[in-house]
Amino acid sequence: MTDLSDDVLLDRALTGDEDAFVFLVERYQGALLRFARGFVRQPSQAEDVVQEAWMGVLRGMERFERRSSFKTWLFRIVANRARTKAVRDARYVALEMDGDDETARGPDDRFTASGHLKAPPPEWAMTPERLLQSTEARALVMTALSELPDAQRMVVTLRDVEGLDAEAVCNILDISETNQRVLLHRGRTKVRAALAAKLSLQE
Amino acid sequence: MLSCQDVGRLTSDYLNRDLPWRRRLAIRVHLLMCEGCTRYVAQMRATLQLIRSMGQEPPAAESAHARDWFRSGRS
Repeated sequence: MTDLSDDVLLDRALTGDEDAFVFLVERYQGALLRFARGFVRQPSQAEDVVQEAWMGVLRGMERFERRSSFKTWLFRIVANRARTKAVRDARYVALEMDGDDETARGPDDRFTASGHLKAPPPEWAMTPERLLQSTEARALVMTALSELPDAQRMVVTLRDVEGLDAEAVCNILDISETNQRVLLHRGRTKVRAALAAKLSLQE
Repeated sequence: MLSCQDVGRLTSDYLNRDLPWRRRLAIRVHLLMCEGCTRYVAQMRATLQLIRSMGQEPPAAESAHARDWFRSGRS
């Protein structure tokens, strides 16, 4: 059953198939918990949020019209619950402001005044193919992702790890298209920099 | 003409194939002439492949409650 699509599992759950629902939970639970933590911080609160979201799925699945994918709907329910909880606990920080204003950092010294690279970035010690198989590289990416500011981590995770499109991510996080692009760009750039810091060859 | 700094700012959109074709073409022309940006874009592409591959994790073993949820949510 693990290779069935979300839609098929949802159809089965709607007919009362408990196993189908359990498979959906298993498929998304880890990602949803990590995602919820970006809003509420405490692991136990994230678990509450995600559990409430699954109860919301059970209550709402008969009315779910499938104009978006199940996955988008699911992440949106979690985001809404998490936001409500964070607002109630007065720790909600709007995602638009991630406190990471690049213009405040001053000129980037990799470039000349006219915007040209002074030198090519050093080559990496691994080819892209080796990189994909390297446990070291994977661990570096995991760490780099976990250290991103919340908004950047959420956008990179939803877009690149979960494979959702830009429209779905704007919808889930309630952010503008421009903001989504900036957050994605900054997050990816930092992950590359983390890899470069460890993998660059001396030139 | 795009500068290297412009290419750096556009790389993420370029890799998403989210740019109008003129912009895309301008980047490709720049890359033909610029070794530094070619390497940078290749590293960003490799980074992106790696991030995208992070989704293939083992499923969570947290389904212990899922059956209870299903029963209470459906009753």
